[in-house]
Amino acid sequence: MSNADKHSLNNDPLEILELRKKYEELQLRVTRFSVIEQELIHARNRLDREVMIYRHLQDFNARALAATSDTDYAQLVAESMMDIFELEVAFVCIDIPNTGDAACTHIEGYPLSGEQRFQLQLYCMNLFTDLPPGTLRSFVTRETDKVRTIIPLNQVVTIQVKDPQLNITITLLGGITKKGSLFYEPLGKDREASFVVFSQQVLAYQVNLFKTQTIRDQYRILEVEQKRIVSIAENFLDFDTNPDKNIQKIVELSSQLMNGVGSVYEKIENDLLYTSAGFDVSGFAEKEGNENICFKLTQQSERDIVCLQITEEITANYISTWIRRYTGKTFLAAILRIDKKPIGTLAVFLEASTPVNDNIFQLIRILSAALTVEERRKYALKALSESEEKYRMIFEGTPNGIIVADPDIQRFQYVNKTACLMFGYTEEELLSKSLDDLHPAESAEQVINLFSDMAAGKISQARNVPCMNKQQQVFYSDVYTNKISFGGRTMQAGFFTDVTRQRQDQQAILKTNIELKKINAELDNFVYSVSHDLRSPLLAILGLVQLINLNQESQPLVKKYIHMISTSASRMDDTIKEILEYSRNARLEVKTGEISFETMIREIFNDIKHLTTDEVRLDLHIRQTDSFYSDPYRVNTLFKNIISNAIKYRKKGKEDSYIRIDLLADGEQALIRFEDNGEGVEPEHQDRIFDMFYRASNSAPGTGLGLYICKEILNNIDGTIALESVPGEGAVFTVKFANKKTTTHE
Amino acid sequence: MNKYMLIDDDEFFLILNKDILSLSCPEQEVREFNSATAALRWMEETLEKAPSDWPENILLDIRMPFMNGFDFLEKLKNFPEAAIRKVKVFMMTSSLDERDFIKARTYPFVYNYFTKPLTMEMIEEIENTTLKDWKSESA
Repeated sequence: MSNADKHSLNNDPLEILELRKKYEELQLRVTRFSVIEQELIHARNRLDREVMIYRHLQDFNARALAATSDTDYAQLVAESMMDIFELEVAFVCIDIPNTGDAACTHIEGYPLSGEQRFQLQLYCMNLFTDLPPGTLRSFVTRETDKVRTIIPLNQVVTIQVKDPQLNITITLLGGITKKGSLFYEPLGKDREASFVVFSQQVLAYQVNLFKTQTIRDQYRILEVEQKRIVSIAENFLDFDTNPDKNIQKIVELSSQLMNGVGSVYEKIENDLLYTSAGFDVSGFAEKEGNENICFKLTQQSERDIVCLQITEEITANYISTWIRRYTGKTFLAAILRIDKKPIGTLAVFLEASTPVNDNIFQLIRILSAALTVEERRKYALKALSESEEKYRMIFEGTPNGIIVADPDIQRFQYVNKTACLMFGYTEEELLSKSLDDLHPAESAEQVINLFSDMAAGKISQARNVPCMNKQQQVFYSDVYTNKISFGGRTMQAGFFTDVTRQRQDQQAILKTNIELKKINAELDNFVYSVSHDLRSPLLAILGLVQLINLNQESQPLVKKYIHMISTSASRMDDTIKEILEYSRNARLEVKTGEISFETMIREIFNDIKHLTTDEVRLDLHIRQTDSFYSDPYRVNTLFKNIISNAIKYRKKGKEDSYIRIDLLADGEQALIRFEDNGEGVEPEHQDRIFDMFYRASNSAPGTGLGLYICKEILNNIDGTIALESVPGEGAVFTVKFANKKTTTHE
Repeated sequence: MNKYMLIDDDEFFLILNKDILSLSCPEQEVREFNSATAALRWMEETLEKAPSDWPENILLDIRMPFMNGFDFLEKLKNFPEAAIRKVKVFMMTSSLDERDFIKARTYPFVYNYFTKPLTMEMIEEIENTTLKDWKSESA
């Protein structure tokens, strides 16, 4: 300056003035510059802070996401609040309903006792009582303010945000103790917006945390439940073949699954109620006493699932003591039904606090269904064992020998007692035998073929199969085979009937039969020879009588005697013929041939009408729809006997004697009605008229064999004969016999 | 005039039949034989020596000792067919055996089957029976 001053002093004053002016300008500039510089420094500082805040915010975001508990989160929020908004004290209160804890609070920057903390919480709440959520309040405290008695704050900024769905309320409170300018810069107006945003952010993270926690909690519950169910299921899956054991298990399970204290299964069988299974977590396995309390309790309801409280009033009605131990518990029971008929009750006793909801109803329904299944299985098993027992009894009791063989492994699986006796082995011995041991070697091939045909289902029975017993004796057996299910496999069962005796008897019968036939034929020949020999002289007598009669010169008396001789001889001849007819019908086989009724009847009538000189009229009506087959010889004899009876026993001296024959023949049978107007048959004789040698009338000669032969003939040709008669008015014989067309001509 | 042969082992019937035949038509030429063998022998001789005596009607009994009526019929088959064709055989029997009747009908030269004794009606039927043109079995 001294040089400049010297210069200015040395120079023009104007110049000095100029200089001064310039100096002042410079001075002004410098001042202005330093203001700008100052501003720049401010701006930079602000920017630095913004960056810091931004970093803190980022940091908060990252850490908030990682928070796992409300307390951790509250701590984080408090710390972040101080950092971001450059506060001295930060208070956070997170209020989540139904969490057990009323609220989770945290304070940073100032130590507070539990009581003070609570007071601060109350203070905050009161602060927002009438304000809509999200309202920000910032104020400078006065000496009288409540907050100053809790924490010595000069300036306060506070906000309450709320999630209406989850009902989470978060209160943030920040404060500064310093006295100074009206508002400390960080809590200035420009910060308020940031604070609101931050509070929303805090809420959002809290909601997120809550949801995460809820999910995690639920997951944990599920995990526990799963573990429990798995352990129960493991127990349950270990099924027993005995339904009774399973029933016991299911009853135990009912209690376990529902966290009950006991369970009882009462059932009805044969109209009796009894406890089939009981389970109590306190250790008694069977309920004492015979009272069926559970069943009675459920029966009172119309519904299948009953839920009620066991009161002292209820237990007082029963003598049994066991029910008393459940006083105060919840009684949950389901009725078991088979075919709509109640068979029992499954009852579970629950703690009174256990919620009875749909799940638990579903559970008891499932369990009672499982019980029903086991009961059904029990019935089925019982029925099965009964039928097995029945089969066993049948198998053991039968006179048939039974051998069950497995065709795949060619071994006997079962033999009954009769089979053992039949083959002479013990059961063990017989079971170890094979087909070769039971049949003689010479017929082994035949037998093996037979059984393989049977196994293939080609044949189901075989007769006279040669078998061999332990003593190597051969016997014969009829064998029937059947596929049977044996122990779950299809096997071949052979039923043996020892027919050795029958075979022997049959052969004896066959032999006897041949002999009998021979004897019969001889007898037949004998009868014919005898009849021939007996008749020859008789016929000679008749011939001679005829010759005498032709000789006109005979005396009347002689003629009379000759006639008597002729009558006697004829009668004897008739007798011989009838005996022959009888013997013939009895011994000769029935021979079937076509019959022409018209011709046959007319021929018979013409042959025998000479039996009398009286006029007898034949009135014949035939209606035939099909050709007719029977034994012509026998039918001929039958007709001849009936027609000759009608002629022989006509009413003597009566005019217009007749025999009316109505014949109806079709493919099935012939129905013939012989009606006459002769002397008829007295009622006392009618029953016996078909008896051998029985004679009901003496008005004509006879042997008493005629109608007997008729009856016998009809026995041989599948027919019947019946008589209706009014004595003195006539007789009606109704004859019926079968058409053998179908049996002979097909 | 008819030529009759009566074959019966029973002499009674031979007499009886001859008498009744002569009663009905006295001009009949009747030859009686008490056995089938005798009858056959005669027929063989007759065919050879006196064919004009060859019978027209043979009344044949069935039941006879040694050779019965059916044995006779069998032997008859051996005669020349022309000769048999001129013969009518009538069975005369006291048998009631249907089998005899059926068997008799199988021979073409058997014309009828009668039950003893011979009656006037039967003779009339025999007289009225004409020879039929039967077919031989070999034809």
